[in-house]
Amino acid sequence: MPFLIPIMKSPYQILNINSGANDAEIKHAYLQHVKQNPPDHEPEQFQIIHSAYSAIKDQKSRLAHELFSLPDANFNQVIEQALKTEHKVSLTPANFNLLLNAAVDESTVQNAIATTKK
Amino acid sequence: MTINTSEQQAQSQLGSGHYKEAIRLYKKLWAETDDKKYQQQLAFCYLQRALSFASRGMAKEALVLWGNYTQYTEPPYAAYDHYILCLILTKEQNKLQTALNELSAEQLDKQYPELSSLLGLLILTEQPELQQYLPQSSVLITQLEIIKTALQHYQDNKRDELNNDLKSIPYRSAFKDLRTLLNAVQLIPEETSQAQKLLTKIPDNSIYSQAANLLLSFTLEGQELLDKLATLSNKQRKLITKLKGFNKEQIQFIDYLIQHKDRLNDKIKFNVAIKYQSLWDSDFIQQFCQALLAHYPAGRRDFNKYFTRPGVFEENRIKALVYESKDNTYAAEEHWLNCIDALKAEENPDNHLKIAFIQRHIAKQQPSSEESTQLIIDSLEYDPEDLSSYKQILHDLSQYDEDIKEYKSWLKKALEKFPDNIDILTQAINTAMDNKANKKACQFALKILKQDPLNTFAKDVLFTSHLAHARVLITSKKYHLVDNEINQAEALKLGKHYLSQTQLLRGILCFVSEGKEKGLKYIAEALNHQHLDPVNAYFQVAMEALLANLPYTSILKVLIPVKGYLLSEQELKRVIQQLEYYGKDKSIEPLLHKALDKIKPALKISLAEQSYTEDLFLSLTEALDKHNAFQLLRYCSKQALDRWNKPIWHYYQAYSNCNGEPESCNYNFILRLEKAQQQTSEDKDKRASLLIKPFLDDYYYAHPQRSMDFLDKLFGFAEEEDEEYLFDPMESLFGHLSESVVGKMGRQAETIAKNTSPERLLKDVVNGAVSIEKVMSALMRNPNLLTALAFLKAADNLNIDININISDVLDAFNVNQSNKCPF
Repeated sequence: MPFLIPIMKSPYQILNINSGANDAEIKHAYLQHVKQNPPDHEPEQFQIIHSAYSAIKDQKSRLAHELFSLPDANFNQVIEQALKTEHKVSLTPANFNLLLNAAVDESTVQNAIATTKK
Repeated sequence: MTINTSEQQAQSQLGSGHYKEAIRLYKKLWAETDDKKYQQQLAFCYLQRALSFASRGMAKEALVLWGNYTQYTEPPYAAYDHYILCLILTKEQNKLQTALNELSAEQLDKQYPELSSLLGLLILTEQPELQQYLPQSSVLITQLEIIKTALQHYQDNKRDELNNDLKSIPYRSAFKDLRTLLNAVQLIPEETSQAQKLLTKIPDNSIYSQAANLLLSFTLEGQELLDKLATLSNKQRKLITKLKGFNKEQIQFIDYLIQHKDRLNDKIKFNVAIKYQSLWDSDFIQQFCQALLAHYPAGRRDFNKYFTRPGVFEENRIKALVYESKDNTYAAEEHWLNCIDALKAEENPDNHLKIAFIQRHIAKQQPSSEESTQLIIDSLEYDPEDLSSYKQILHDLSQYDEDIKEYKSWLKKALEKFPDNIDILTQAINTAMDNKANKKACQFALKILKQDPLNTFAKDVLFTSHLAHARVLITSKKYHLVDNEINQAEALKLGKHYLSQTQLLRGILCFVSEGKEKGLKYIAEALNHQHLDPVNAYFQVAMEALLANLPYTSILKVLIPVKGYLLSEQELKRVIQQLEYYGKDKSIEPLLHKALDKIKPALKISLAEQSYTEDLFLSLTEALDKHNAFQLLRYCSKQALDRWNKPIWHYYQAYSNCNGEPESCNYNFILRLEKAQQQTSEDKDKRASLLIKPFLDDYYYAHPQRSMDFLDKLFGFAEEEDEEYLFDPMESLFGHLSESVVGKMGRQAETIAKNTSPERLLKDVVNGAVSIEKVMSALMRNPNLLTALAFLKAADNLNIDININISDVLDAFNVNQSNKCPF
């Protein structure tokens, strides 16, 4: 079973904005997405985008959305957050050597036997 | 056994891969014949058996068999690379050194590419000593030196030199995948996605595929990383987590998840979140755990132990949403009401909007529109500016005649609140027109046109109003004012069809004011101008004459007789349009019927003889229904039913035969409609179902006795029970109520039965008055008890005081109430 589970996206995720976005930012993101997914070419995607926009377009709809949405039990996000590191880690040549050494075990030889023509 | 037979057997065993048996047979054959060919076959069998063991990872066994193979054959040995690979696997260093010493440069570079690649990797990693045993003239050794230099340049961070070294590695080199690895590693971390793309180019069967996999793991984040880590060995996973810089707790978190990978249910997720909570921001993980409680309620105790308990509002909100997600709106409502109480208790004005939202939300779940409307009305106390609520209230109240007073009051409120809203103004126009308040309708229409000068509905209203006024002026003989009204109607520029209407009215004006002959000439010209067929012309002239209170027979004389005229599809559509147009004013329906009478023969013969489409039949049927033209409707539905035996035509036949009054419908039609209703679900014919169901409801409303039969069917009780036994308690309980009250309760009980399971209904109504077991046992004796309980609940929902309580019902059905449930 993979850890990466497909989940329902929130309107904010669909429009690729943060949950604190204001009316203007939401509208801007909506129009950008509509531009990329015009209703005549991408009717299904447009519908998703439009529904997402309608759900959060103004303060009132955002409040209703918040009120009638179950808190997101998104385990993918939990994993994401748990495995966050302070900064991007680069691989030193010494570490590359460690990595290369770790890549050699019995299975490497077995793999070679399996690949070698009889 | 002859030699031939033995040889055949040996060959057969060899062919089927049974090397052990083949070896035994060839050994025997060789001993018996001393024929060299059997010795060669024997060697071949040993070799095949050795390779078979090697491919299954049994390197030691393979080497023993290899030894046997070499006893029966001479060098050069076949599959020498396999032999060396087995030696590497068993770590038999002395034999390995000897075997490598015996390798030629050509063998290494050309015949054994996989062995060559593996040796290259081993020399670079854990066995650099192997280099000395290899043929020094081989290409592998030359390229090994280049790659070593490249690695040194990488070590010294000399990127240009490194890239030059890598460029000199040929495409078919034993180090080609190492070159890809080194190219990829240079892209990390700045261009990680490019590095990932490069790594995917290293094939799975490459000696470097594990290294590529490890490097790829290093570039991944979050769930993707976790997925990849789960495929690595413990040693490799430890290395990657170390290189990624994870702390002890993060590593434990990873190990825990990988350990529980195949049973990652809500409980495990909840527990992992609690166990490693320091890995997250406390608000974030609390929210996650709270959301998870919806699916894993057993975690509540731990949740309360580790996190701040959410407030009453939030706790109830989550519960309500969870119930809703399980389609239990009944239980959800209770929690929503608790939410409202919690919000009211806070006395925070910001909560008002939430209260209004919740009220509107639960309004949608109400089985009766009465309760739903009331909730929406209540919501306006907290959010008075909500236009959609006003619209919904107006819509709900406009559905029932008994609510007309309230409807008007709400329309007034809506107009005060939203004086310029087009939807509200449109509603106001319709109401004004229904009340024949043309002046008011025109005022509202002008308001709409002020905002939307092209609004055709408003223009149409003004046009109709001007023409209606012109007709009034004609009947009151104020001819001099008529022209002005017609001019105003024409000035609206609504189109050709409307213009012909005004021309006809001018003809009528001329007929009454300037003489019949001149008038008839005018009328004839106006009709010619419209290119009307005789039937439509007849109908229009008849209508206009009737509206102007004129003797229409003398006017109709100028027209071609319509009897026997067959209408084309287009002409029939025009008739329907005219019905729509003149039928807008309900008060002139009798005139409409008179005009229809004039064209009835032509309509009937056309319906009987023309091949109209079903859609056209349906349009005409709907138009006739709208204007209560039941006689024609009966004829039309009969013709249609003869052609299309469908539920909708059964409905219109029943409906027209009782002149639209279901209560007086013949029971035979009802039985047919019951069948038709079943057919609608099979055909998924929602339209017919939406017509038939309320018709049957109305019938049962008027005939409550049959309504109870229907309810019993709904609960799945058989009808063949003893009738006397079934109905006695019901009579004793509800016999004192009027038929209309029983009917109303019956309808409500039916709604309850559809939305609530019998178990739930029992629990709700009995509500601890007596143990459920006792009720269930009484229910087994007399299933009508459930109907009685549904009626009781229905009376409660409808706020009807029937002077019956649960105790009376239980008594009537002989339920022993002596040991009441303590709760």
